[in-house]
Amino acid sequence: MQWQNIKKYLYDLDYIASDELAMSIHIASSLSRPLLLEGEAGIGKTALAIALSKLHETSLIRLQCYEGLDSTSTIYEWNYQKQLLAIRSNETKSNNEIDIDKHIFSRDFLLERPLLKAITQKKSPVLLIDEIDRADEEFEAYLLEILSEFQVSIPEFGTIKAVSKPIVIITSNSTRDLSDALRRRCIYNYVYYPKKELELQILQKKMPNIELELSRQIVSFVQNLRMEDLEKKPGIAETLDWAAAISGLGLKDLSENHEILHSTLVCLLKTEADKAIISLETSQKLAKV
Amino acid sequence: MLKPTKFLLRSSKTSRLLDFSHHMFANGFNTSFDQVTQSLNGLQNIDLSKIQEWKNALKSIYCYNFDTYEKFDELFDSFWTNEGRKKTNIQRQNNNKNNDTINTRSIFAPPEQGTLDNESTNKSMTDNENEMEASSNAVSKITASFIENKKKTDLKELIDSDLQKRIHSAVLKIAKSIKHKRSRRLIADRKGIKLDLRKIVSKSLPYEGYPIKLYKKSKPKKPMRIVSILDISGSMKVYSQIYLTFVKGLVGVNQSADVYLFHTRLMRVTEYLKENDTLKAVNRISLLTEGFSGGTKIGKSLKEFNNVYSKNQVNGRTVVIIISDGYDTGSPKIVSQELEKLKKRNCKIIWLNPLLGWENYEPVAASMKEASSHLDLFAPCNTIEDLENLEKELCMI
Repeated sequence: MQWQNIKKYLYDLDYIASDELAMSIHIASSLSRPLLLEGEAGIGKTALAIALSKLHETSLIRLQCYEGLDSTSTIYEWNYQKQLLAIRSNETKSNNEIDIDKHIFSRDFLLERPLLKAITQKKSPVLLIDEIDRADEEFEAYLLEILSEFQVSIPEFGTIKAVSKPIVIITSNSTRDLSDALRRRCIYNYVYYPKKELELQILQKKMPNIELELSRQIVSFVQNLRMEDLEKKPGIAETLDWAAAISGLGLKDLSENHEILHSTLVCLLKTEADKAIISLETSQKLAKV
Repeated sequence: MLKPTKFLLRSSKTSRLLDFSHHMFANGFNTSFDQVTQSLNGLQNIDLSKIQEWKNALKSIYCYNFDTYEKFDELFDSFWTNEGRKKTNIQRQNNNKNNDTINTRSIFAPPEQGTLDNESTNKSMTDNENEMEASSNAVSKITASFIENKKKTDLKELIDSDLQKRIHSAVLKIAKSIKHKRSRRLIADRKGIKLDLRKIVSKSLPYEGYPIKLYKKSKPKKPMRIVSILDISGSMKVYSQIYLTFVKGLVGVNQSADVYLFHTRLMRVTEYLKENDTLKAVNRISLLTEGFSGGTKIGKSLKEFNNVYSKNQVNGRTVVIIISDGYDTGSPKIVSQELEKLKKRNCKIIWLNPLLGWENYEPVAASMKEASSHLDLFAPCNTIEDLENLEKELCMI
């Protein structure tokens, strides 16, 4: 699929990608490499994986990373209770230990976790490894075999090779540096806050009921707000929330009622310090610019 | 339209991409042959007559982090629009020039007795044009203190290979002394406190489910992360080479260590310090920072650090080491505000000040006064002994 088509199809699915991002998706798919997306929170990294699963009409397997994540919760686990029951029930039938061993360490007793599940699907799923920077560095080592060879080695069972190669999207909020080994295996894209035109397109696509002039004002306000010295700058998700709030309150123009406008800023400002910076006067100025 | 280059006329696509790969490598990118093959495969379905298209394609392949992503466009244009060669030549000339300067200056050569630092300190202090207190008070103090301290070896005089060894041993001690924090994660541990039920059950299978052997787990100690922010302004110039060697050592000992330099602006240099040869790494950084203008803006630099890096790089398991003399041309209030913000990230802040080692020194610089209330440790660092003694202090915090 050409990158222009990817962009167009994603647009049809309500995901508006920049040229750079569409090209990265195209390159990742043509080279069968994972796509590593970095950027601030709330700018559409996870949404891309969801849109891609819709685009390819396939399932989305999501692995949310956190500290302490290990192979038993990401790759596979033996079903011990079932194994114990199987041993008990087979006691009377056979005393051959090897037979029991083979029986209880078969696929029937294997609990598939997201990574193993992703490579055993008939149709390539979209595998989303979300916020990998939250997981421990050791976890990256587990990923290396899966991402480069698309196989999983289980000591008691053998190697399980991929039935189909999943489309892998890895997202990171850059809370720590990822290893060079992992980065080397990925196609990289840094997702910036969208430019004015792109954000306007996103807003209109997601909320067509909002009038164009009001959409322009909303986008312009958010773009100006991002230039302020804030601890947490609003992402696209916040823009959409705020637009929904403005629309829900029946505002037709941002300069219509400054007090209501200011009270809705809770959708955009997420820390106490940021709320202190954006006073009523500042929000008035931002609405006029 | 793409300007014709020598490469385009005479070379194949592969060799042009190889040249490009070398160009990127020369400019600090980690490139390999793998990327050339990826580029050849990836560019197959792309319209090569549209430069923006294959620029985006190569960007996806060659970039691997935010810094490289930011630098890519400029490097791409400088190579493919026939400006790369010019730039490379200029860089080489500059490098040679700078190397010559470095050799003639002999960074690690001892300054002549008596002239110590009148020349260098005067020069450096006058860099801070707006900071009268820095240029007038400090010079006299440093000169006077030098006479008092002449029995001690000052870092700026240490230039032989012993320096590196001593600094390295001090770094090792410091890295060891920075305490580990326990992780929330449980891992197998023979002497652990908690029972690993999952493992006990799985290992009991051969014994019909009877737990013959007990397996345990515990929370492992996780290393603290060290983030160093080094002042390389004029007033710190005499010390900067030594401290660069020091932070280079930190990067070598602690792989997750992060290093930033500041003057009037902030620059992340961790990648450059991963060079195996200390002298090469230090020289490379020196060249990179040549363009920095005079003056020191501690507050502004800390603000940049907080805005861009700290939210991702600093947490409760981080020790931030600021090495600066505290002389600042910016507003001291900003220093205080930014340190307060940084402190909210639950990190430990250590300020090492080379001037603190001089007798009768008091942190009179306004920025230093403002900063001191936010620090976990304020210590001298003008002699190797000071650096070595840090170990004891760090154990306490």
